[in-house]
Order: sequence, then structure tokens, then C-alpha cells
Amino acid sequence: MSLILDNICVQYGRRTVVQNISLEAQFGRVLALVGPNGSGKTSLIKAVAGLIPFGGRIAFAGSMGRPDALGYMPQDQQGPLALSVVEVVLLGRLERLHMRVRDEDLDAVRGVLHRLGIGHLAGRDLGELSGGQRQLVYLAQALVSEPRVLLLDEPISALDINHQLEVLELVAAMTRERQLCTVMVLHDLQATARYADDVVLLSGGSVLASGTPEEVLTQESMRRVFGVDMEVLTTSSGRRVLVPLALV
Amino acid sequence: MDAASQTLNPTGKDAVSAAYRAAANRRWWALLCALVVMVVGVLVDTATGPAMLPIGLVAQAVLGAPVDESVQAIVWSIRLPVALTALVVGASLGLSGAIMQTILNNPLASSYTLGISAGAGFGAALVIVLGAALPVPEAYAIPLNAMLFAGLACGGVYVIGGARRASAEGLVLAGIALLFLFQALTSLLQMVASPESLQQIVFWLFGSLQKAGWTKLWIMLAVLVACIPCLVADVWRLTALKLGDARASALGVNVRALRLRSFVLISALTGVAVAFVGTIGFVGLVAPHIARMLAGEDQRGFLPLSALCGAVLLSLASIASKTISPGAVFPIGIVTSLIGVPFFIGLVLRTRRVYW
Repeated sequence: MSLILDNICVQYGRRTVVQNISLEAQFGRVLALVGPNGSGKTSLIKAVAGLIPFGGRIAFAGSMGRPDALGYMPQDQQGPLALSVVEVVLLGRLERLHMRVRDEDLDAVRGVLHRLGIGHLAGRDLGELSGGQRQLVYLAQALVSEPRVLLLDEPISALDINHQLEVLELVAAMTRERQLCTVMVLHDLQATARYADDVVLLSGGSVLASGTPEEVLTQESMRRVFGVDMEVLTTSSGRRVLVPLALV
Repeated sequence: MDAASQTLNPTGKDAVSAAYRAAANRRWWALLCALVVMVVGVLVDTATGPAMLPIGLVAQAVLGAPVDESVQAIVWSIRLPVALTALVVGASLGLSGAIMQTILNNPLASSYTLGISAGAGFGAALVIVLGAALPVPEAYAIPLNAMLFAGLACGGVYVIGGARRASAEGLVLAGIALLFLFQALTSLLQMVASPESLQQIVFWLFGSLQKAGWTKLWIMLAVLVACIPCLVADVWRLTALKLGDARASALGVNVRALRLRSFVLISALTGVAVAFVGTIGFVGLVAPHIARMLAGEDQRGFLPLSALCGAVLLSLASIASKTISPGAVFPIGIVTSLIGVPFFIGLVLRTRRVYW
């Protein structure tokens, strides 16, 4: 089973930001969308989430259209100041909520907050949290709906290095064990090399390369897309590390 | 245990239940306190007037215990309809302001600031100026036309703002534009009106609970009650809208349809309230702020508390309007602002929590 994007196009007015992108994201694998600013990553993920009009075809597990069981975490971390963390995360289960919140919904919130290590923030208002803490809360909201498709737009952009690794470890583990179809926009190439199973490199709204991190994150492609000379090293533990050297 | 269910930082497991219970308790206490203040307010309001009545006696009359006929007449025929109208109008305006602030994600949104009350005012002024030329008696024509124009203003805000995909910003801008348009049109009518009509228009625009009566009260109450199931059905979607349009859409909310449904409710609540008592500006803006401070933005608490705060505010204003100058009744629209503004500023300055 997979999420198939076929010839997706997105336009803002007369400006085309995504041009005929076709790709396939497999269940149980993390697909990372990488590319320079303005390359169409966020627009593509928004189109999959059904937030903006698009041309082309999306098929999920054999059915057409936007997947129902979808968890989406946008880039923007703004939110209401006078809603508590529990209330914000509960909204991830919106369609199942009643006036009186059921125990199973609270249990789901408890579980996901606990897993992300932010149970102690449960009673705090969103307005009192740092950008990184908000990012974790919105990740919890995306996960609490028990999605089959997880769309994360720069999920670690506001996190410290410790939380970056913890969150990506968790997302990768959940993707494998629950057979999720995870699509992430990432700017961190080290994180991409380490946690993505598949990488799609975008430039100017089109796919420039796709494949495994080893196939896509090469010196040549980095130079071509980002205009940066990079050295690609392999550590003693076998991990790939990209070291930026100079602007081209 | 699989890796996905391992804890990143195993703290605060029971904090979730405690936090949820604390928020729920805070909501219930706020609602209970507002309800008690509201009941006391309506009793004091009924007791207040040229002939002051003991509150105990008013309570007896209201509860149907045997009291003097004159007291019975004062309470049931004169004062109680006014006191209850203050509650229902306050609740309607507070609720419509709360819905508006939620769907537009703007703390300045209310039916007064976004031109809906101004539309009703223009509708009323139009009837007053045209007067005898209309086939319907003026007593019915004024509220009907005020209601009609409140609905038109509401529709105008939605249609003009909707030209930009019904974004919150577009709707707010459209509302402000219509506010100025209707104010200008009303000024134009005032300029061409006869001195008698001008006086009548000015008095209508001040707002007055003295126009109250049982029939009008039942109509307003019926509209308010009819809106409740609609709000209950959308209560979580409205809370989700506080996260922003994109996030709400991603959670499965049809934002455009939700805004349209909400505008219909705002139109009904404001239109009927303003049509019967005139323009009352402050309540719809402030009641939601007080509710937000007391119970946060979970709409399950925020919406009913906004209604109760609106009812309390207008009830207190009604009492004040009768006590500022004994023997005379100050227009309620003036009193709400004169008393409410210092109260609200004090509240905002004293609070440490950030709401916007």
C-alpha cells in the first residue's frame, strides 16, 4: 500500500509553485522532502493535506482523494493563547469529540503527551510555551488522531538538538511499527540522511532527484540545488554526514 | 514494549487528567458564579425604580407567593419584563460577540464594531424618517426593518469578505467598511429628518430597555434558545478554528461552511436583540473578553460564559441606568459604556495572563 501523487500542480494566482510532481510514499517508510526555500515543499504537503487547490491526482491505499486518517503538522506554530495543551491536543481527535470528553480520548492524549515527554505541560496555556514546546504540542496533536498518513512540515525547526533527535527517533519508530506513511519536509540534511528512508529533492517546484538518501544527497546534487560545496563523509558507525565547505 | 511507545522523558503522566479536571472545574465554577450574580442582578434590577422594593418581596412576587396587588403589578407588568429583557439581550449580544471573535480570530470583533448594529440603526432610522409613508405601523416596522438591515449587514460582511476566500482578515475589513457606510447613511438621514424624527432616531440609537414587553421578550428568548443546539453541534469545530484556518482545515473542519453557519446565528442573535432595544455597543465586545479571562477559549465554556457575562453586564447597566438620576432612566447604551469601560480597563490591567 502507498500514497501516490500523480502529476500534482499547485498555482498561486498565475505563479506555478509545484509542477507535475509524481511520487510514491510507501507505508512503513519515512519520505523526506528537501530542497531550497521556495522549491514547493510546503505547497506540496499542503496539497496532500487538502488545504490548497491543486491539479493532478492523489491516491491513498487504492482510493482517490485526501486520506481520511491524516495527521498534519504545519510549519506555523502560532495558536490561541488561552487554550491549554490538553485542549489543543484533544482537537487532533476532533471528529470523535463530544461535549463531554470520553475517557478514551483523554487516554489517547495522555499517551501521546507521555511519549513526547511533555505530560508536565498539560495544564499550561499554549501562549506560555516556547516555540519548541509548541512544536512538540502540535506534533502530539498530529499523532493523537492515530493517523495512517503523517505529514510533518519542518517538525524540528524550533527544537534543540536533544529534542530533534528524540522526535525523529520517535517518528521513525512509529512509522515502522505502525506502518504509517510519513512525509516530512526537512531542511536539516544530516537528519534527512540519518532518518529518511526515501528522499525527494525539489528545486523550482519540480523533482530533481529521488531515491534513498545515499542516491539523492550527493556532492553533485547539493552543489546544483543549494549552490554549496559539501563533503559527504561516512563515520566509523556507517552514518553519512554532509559537511558544508563553501558557497559555489 | 515497542520503541514507539517508549517514553522520551517520563514525567507528568497523571498531570494530564489533573490538568483537564482543573480546566473543567474552572469552567463550571465560572459558570456557576456568573449564574448566581445574574440571578441577584435580576432581582436587584426588579427591585430598583422610582418606588424601591425590598429584594425579599421581589423574590416572593417572582416565585408566585402572595404579595400586595400593587407590588404584583409593578413586578410582573413593569419591571420584570425590563429586567429579563436586559438578561436576554445581554446574553444574545455576549454570545454573538463571542462567536464573532472566534470565527474572525479578532479581539475587536463584535456586532457593534463590524457594522451589524450600525446596519440595524440605519434600518430603524429609515423607517422613522419615512414614517407615515409606510403601509405597516411604525411600532412593528422599526424592529422589522432594523432586523432586516442587521441581516443585510451581516450578509454584506460575509459576501464582501468572502470575495477573498472568506478569510478572517477580509471579513473584518468588510465589516469595518460597512460600519462606516451605515454610519454615514444614518447621519445623512439625520440631516434630512424633521426635528421630531431626529429626536426619535437619536433616542433609538442610544438604546433603551424601556421598549421591553413580554411578547418581545419571548421572541428574543426563542431565538437565543434556538441557537443553542446549533452551537453545541459546532462547539469543537469553533475551538479548532482558534488554531487558525489552515490547522482547522487540516483537522477536517470545513471553515467556509462553519463561518457561514456562524454568521447566520450572529445575524439572528444581534438582529433580534438590537431591533427591540436599539443599539447597545459595549456588551458584545467585552463579555467575551471577561469570559476568556475566566474560562479560557475552550468554546464549551467560553460561549455560555460569554452569554452569562453579557447578561450580567446589561443587568448591572440596567440597575445603574435607574439609579444614576433617581426618577429618570438613562439610556442603557450610554450607561454600558460609561460603567463598563473603566471596569474593563481595570480588569485588563490587573490580569497577568496573556490572552491575545
